[in-house]
Amino acid sequence: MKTILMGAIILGLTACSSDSSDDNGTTPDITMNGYRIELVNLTNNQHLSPPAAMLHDGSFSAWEIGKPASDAIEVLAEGGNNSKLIMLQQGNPTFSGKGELLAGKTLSFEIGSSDDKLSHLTLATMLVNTNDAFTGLTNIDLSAMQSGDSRTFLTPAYDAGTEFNDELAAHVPGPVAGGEGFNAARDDVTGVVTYHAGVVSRDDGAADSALTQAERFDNPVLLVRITRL
Amino acid sequence: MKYRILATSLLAFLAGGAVEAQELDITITNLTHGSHFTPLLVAAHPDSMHLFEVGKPASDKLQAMAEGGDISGLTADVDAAGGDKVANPAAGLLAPGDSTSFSLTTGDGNDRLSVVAMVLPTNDGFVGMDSLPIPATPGSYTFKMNAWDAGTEANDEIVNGGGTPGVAGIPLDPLKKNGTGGSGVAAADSNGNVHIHRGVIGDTDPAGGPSDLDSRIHRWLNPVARLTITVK
Repeated sequence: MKTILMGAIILGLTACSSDSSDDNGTTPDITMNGYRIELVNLTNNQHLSPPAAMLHDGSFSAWEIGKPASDAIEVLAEGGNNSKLIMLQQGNPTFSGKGELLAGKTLSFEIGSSDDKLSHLTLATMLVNTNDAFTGLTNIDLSAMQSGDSRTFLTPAYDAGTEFNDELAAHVPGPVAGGEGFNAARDDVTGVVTYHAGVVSRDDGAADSALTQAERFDNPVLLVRITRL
Repeated sequence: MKYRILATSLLAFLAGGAVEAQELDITITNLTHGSHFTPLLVAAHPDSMHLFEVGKPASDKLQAMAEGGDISGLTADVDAAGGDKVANPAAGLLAPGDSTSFSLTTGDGNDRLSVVAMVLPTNDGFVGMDSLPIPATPGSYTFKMNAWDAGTEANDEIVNGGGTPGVAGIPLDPLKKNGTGGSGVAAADSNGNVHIHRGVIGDTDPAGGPSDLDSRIHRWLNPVARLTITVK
């Protein structure tokens, strides 16, 4: 609840500061270090869990290829719950989407800070019709961006390495299956964060899969456009 | 001003241009979820040589690498061309998610970088980069690498120990998650030249079905590896 409130406050501040003539001397001027983020879900039928975004200094990395996922990433990647990840940046600017970002849809929001040391962006969201696939960016240095500059990223699907990709209805939380989300057991074959191998689906021979051809995806899965305010 | 700096570095990059010796720090990361890489061969060489070329038939030496992980022939080719190399930097297999880091000193004229390693378990799939122009400007550069098919062996997906060139089958699955008794996926490759690998099919039947590979474990999406080059 607290983190949702924090996101709302940031949106509010952004709205104030977008009016440059409104200088009441109390609102931090986040245009000093503010960004508009646009997310486009590039998949056919992988809804994305409420995206989490946060600004931080360069000392935080939410995940790393070849390393076991943190509990926060496991909770997000298996069940779409971003609260643990956002809690890791308590006190820094954070944002949480209010709902899922549906396939083909665009989400646009602003995030910022008056502290120019908080110049690195992390963003994460789950592909909900999977066992433990997620996408995003982590520890992206935005400090070289000037006002009006824009950068675009195309992000791959990652596998959290925390849940075997059985694609069973009991283990896929998204709307095509309605199964379990987070489970603390870790039973994947390699146990570390990697790129995702894609889903098989019952249309491609996995007879007990809850997924169809519609949930298959290829890289990239998300477009991220960042514009410095 | 900013634009001019950018343009200058871009030109330097495009030119490749590094005719003089360079000190490179290189990191290669296996991005796949369930595939190992056999010993890597990383070579700096003149633009007159290639370890492989897309759209051309594989050399016998590339075939030996792609079907069985044997880089000795390609290593000899690099030496014969006066290239610089690091062979087997990971001291064996590079597991899913793992990285290997090493340094490479390039001699005059060796301004192209190539990388190869077999992807296990496949019949003749390999991760590779052909003749990347080595950036001349100091800095850190990241590239992605795809999985290629050598076009030399049918992708039957049968794990039978076959790693010798011309012998059908897959040598092994380092994860030991393969099945047995598969009937065979492909009887022949349609494309006999080096091409983008179409991926493995696999199945979920450990004691039969078309494939000995597991579709939930052994598939991948491109890219399959990350290549980071730091030019000093």
